[in-house]
Amino acid sequence: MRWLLVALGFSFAAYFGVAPPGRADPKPPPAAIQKPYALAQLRSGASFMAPHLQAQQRDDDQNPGMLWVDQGRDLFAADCARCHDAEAQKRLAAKLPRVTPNGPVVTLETQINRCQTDRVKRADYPLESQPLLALSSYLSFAARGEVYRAQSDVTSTEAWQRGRNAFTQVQGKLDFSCAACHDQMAGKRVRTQAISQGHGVGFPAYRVEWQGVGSLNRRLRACYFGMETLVPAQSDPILADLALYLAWRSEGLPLEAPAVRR
Amino acid sequence: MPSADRRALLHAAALAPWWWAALGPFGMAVHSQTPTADPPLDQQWQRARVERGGLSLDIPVVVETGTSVPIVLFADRLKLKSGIQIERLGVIAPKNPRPVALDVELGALMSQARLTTNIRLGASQSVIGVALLSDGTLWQHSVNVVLTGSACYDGT
Amino acid sequence: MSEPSTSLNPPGRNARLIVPRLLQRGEEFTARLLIQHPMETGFRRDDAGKMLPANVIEEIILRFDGELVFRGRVLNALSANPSLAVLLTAQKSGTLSANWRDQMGNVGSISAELRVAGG
Repeated sequence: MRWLLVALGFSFAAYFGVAPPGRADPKPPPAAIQKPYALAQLRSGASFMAPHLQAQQRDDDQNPGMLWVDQGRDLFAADCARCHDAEAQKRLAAKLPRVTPNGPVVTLETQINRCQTDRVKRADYPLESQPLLALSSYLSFAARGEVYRAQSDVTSTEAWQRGRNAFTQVQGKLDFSCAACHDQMAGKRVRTQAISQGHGVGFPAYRVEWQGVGSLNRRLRACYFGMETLVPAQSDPILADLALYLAWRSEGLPLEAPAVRR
Repeated sequence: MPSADRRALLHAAALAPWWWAALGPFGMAVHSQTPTADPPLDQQWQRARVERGGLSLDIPVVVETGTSVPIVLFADRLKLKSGIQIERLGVIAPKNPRPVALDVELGALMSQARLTTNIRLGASQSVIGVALLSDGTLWQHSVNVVLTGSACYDGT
Repeated sequence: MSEPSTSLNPPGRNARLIVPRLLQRGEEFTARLLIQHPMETGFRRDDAGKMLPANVIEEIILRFDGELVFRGRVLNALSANPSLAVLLTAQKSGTLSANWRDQMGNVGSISAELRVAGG
């Protein structure tokens, strides 16, 4: 029933998204590229976790990620609230990542830092720094339950294509690609761990392995590490491209940050 | 109680701060980081009855990540003789670098002797939950936990 | 069980003490303490290979109106960002407070008001 509602809401949104009044595209839309998972098959990372981690995520009182949310709420009130109404920012995290014309992909983290330099007039927060994780956790928490909607032309952008290539390309000593596990082997096990479908909707997430909250950027670098291939630098734009591809790929799954992951 | 179990407990318990005062300089050295010196309970220990009693340690038997393992320690007061209280709840993880994982003193206000938390385990091992009663009896319940390690190494 | 709620947090926001918003007298409830703390074991190295100094929480004391609820005397193996939950019975309104101290001498505290109907 929940899926039906999500599906209905999604097709409703897609209907209006595709044909906005006064902005009709004269060209017929290109044949839709098929996603690895149909809407009804999408399962967030939570469903592949051990029961005690699922329980920790279900109950905010047990979720240590909420401590980052608390701190982010305070930071938002101190630095951001003079321009942004907290209520109006509720959907921000669901609107990102986004492709900008001629620019790099904007993620939640880069958007926060853009505000930081342009408006707050302060130096960027380093990635994975406490204040940045606090703000991104708070804003993602505010958008919890929202559904990301990809830009209608995203699959024709170079960023998306780079992201998809990175996802499907075989690399590293183990001859793996992201897709080999997360598109084709989801639900099977590596050692005792169930392979997830590889969606980023829970990030920033509290990972017990990290013993703290980390961003999707860090999670993706950890994936590279696990594949035994060169780990991109935090600032490598390929990570934002991958985030964009992942968001398109998981379109329809409600956001659930800060999730609890292994 | 099976003797192997009892040996394991005696071994681990010998490291516990409840008894380390009885161990002399060696025990002191091992536990130099233990913050509080307890009154020696060695005499109590020597005549302690070790039994399962009303204690249960609830912990997953297979764990993917040892950095956070959920536990529930529960000592059932209905199993107490009259006039006896549950004074302490503890966890001993013999294969952890610091085997005394947890030692918690209970006040009178707790409506049940139940503690829910998350602990770290450094290896697969038999994790021992203990409850110390006011008459010196020790309730214990051990659970064998297998730590499988994660599928993908994470160097970030 | 009553509707759960988060207590008012003091500045710093490195902890949560969670109790139900309103209790009936005699009702059993869960009090949960969540602390942001690395619980550094002293067995890890940083990226440069240097040992990270041990710093775990040495003591946690939970009190209700000054009376002891529990005292954690050894907390060696508590996970990073530990959570501790205990069961209490609501007898009267009052203040539940937690204090803790780590090996580096940092102290933390948080409190929550307990409101018991007719108490």
